[in-house]
Amino acid sequence: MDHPILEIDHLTHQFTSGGGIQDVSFQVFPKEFILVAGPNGCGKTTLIRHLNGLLLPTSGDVRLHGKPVKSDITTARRTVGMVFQDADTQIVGDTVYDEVAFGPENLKMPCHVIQKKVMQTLVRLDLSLLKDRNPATLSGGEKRRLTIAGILVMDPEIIVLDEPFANLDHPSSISLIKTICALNQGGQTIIMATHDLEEVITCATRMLIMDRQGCLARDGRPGDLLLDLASHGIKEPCFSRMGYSAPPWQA
Amino acid sequence: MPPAYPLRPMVNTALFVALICMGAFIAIPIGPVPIVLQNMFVLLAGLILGPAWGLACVGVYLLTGLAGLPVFAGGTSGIGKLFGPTGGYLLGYLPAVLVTGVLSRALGKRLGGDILAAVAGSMVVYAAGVPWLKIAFSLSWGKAVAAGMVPFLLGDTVKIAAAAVIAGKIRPFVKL
Amino acid sequence: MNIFTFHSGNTALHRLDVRYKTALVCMVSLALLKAGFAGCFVCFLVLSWLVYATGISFIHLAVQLKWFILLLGIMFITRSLTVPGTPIFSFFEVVITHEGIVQGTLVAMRFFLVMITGLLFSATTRPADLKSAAQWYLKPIPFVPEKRVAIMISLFLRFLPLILTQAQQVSDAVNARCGNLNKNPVRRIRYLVLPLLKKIFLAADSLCLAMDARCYSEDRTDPVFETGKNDMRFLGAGICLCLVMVCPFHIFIKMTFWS
Repeated sequence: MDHPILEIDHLTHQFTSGGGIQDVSFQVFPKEFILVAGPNGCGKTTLIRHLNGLLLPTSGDVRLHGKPVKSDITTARRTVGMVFQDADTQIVGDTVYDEVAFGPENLKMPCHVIQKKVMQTLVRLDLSLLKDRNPATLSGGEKRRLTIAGILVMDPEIIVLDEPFANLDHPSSISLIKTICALNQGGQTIIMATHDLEEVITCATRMLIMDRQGCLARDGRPGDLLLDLASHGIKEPCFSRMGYSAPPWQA
Repeated sequence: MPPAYPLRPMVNTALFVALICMGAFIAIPIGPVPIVLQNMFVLLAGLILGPAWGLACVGVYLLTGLAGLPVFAGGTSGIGKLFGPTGGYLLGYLPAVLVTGVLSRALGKRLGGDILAAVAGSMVVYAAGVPWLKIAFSLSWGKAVAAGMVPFLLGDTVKIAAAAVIAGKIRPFVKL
Repeated sequence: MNIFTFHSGNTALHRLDVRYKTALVCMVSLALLKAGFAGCFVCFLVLSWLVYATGISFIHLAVQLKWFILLLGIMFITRSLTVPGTPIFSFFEVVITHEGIVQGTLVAMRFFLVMITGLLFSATTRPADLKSAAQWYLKPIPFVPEKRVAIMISLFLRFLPLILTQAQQVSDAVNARCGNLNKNPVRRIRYLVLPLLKKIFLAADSLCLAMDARCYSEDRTDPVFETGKNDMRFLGAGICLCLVMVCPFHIFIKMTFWS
């Protein structure tokens, strides 16, 4: 088996106001598509914010290729790209092009490289026609794709998505899933925190379930964990509740 | 690892630039003259951001207007507006935000102190705006004060009170 | 959005180096302050041609500017009533003077032209380019952190639509609970501005996180400018236009007719 990209080792984070995560350990391998499922407030967001050093552990360790994340934060943030829940408050640029160029500019890439990479990424996510638009005028699905483009342009090894389906209508969610699956099938490692598993569960290769205490309750193949979902406060996908056999697993 | 650059105050400052700019368009109807919230946001910038970032905030605002973006009242912009007859009020925002920030900090960021700081700030705006207006239109002092100060005093009282109340409530939310 | 937003395109004005464009806008607005009727007319012709060449529809423009034009009308009327001089029409206390009308027309025209200049500028300039120009102009000035200013400008542009939508939501929420019946102005401002500020400061907080997550640094790629011969031509034409505008035509005319 490959070497893990990320190793999360007995990670604990206590907030002074209470809550947090307790003793979470797992490893992330290349080309995985990991779902982090759990009810609201179970610490999904806290967990994933440790992956690129936005939060630092109270105890335990997060290691990227064997080195602690906090020893080189810039590399960690570049390697682990993060897409946040609210698209409106993470878009920095005032046109689609500038939004995507923001990351490479921070890394001080030369201008012609930035231009090439940005255009490639825009084409890849089907945003090239919107290049000069103001992000505020985009639809919810387009904004979401834009936030992914802003991360993808920095060539991250892992893309982390926090509740990507929040505030999206059904068709946009479906098209977003297609985009994400295509990235995953192209070899991109993906971690997605969500409580809405219905459409996305068949694409994932692995699922982590967190309980209300902030502990990692289950870790396994999504198909094997279907019956554990309801007891942890997560909605079971329709096909499983109705007793149908699962749609074809794509991963 | 704390970042080496002041990201948070910078983002908050940019936010206040946007608020000052929006303030020219958000009007609250009170009596015959609707009051425009622009100078209230200038005072708030001083109260919340403090003198240094407050100054940066007004500076960036004036700069964007100077550069040609329509951010001044009524969607105007440009060097002509900034140094035109009413430019004194705009340039007066610079010392005003400084005075407000320094006073509010010195008086311990309490309601009374904030009110005092905001009053001082407003006075500075007029101290710059009215003489400028007087010279630009060659008015008498009486007329300059009557045209450039008296009509706004009632609205200003309301805005100063509101700014002081809001500053007290909003400070805990703003991480600088 | 409104007329002040950028319209993408590929006209000469769009391609013009933004540093030259900024300088030109400054020059024209300054010249307008001093311009007489003839100067304003020349400027009007040039600007209309530019508006036409940029492909902005005149009707659209007039509709969008209707409140501004109304404001100009009010300015014209107050001027014509208040400026002392030879009366041409009087009705009881109300006196319209010749000087008033002349001054009123001139002031209204200047304001209108400044407005159109600004509008042409913002319609043809990508906000990001403006930010780059600001950075470039501030570079030689000591003690001004030009990169920080540039990023603040782009953040500020970013916040504008956010604040607009949030302000609308807050005011709807207040009005849905009959907040508009409250007559106390301090309370009204408080109930409008306080929730708005709370919301957008939280938004600012998430924006900080997102910028951090994308390796925000002040040591970033500098903007590049492309300057060609065309930019020099525009600059030359702009300087000529400004000279023509401030040139005291009426003196020439007087000299020709009186001597």
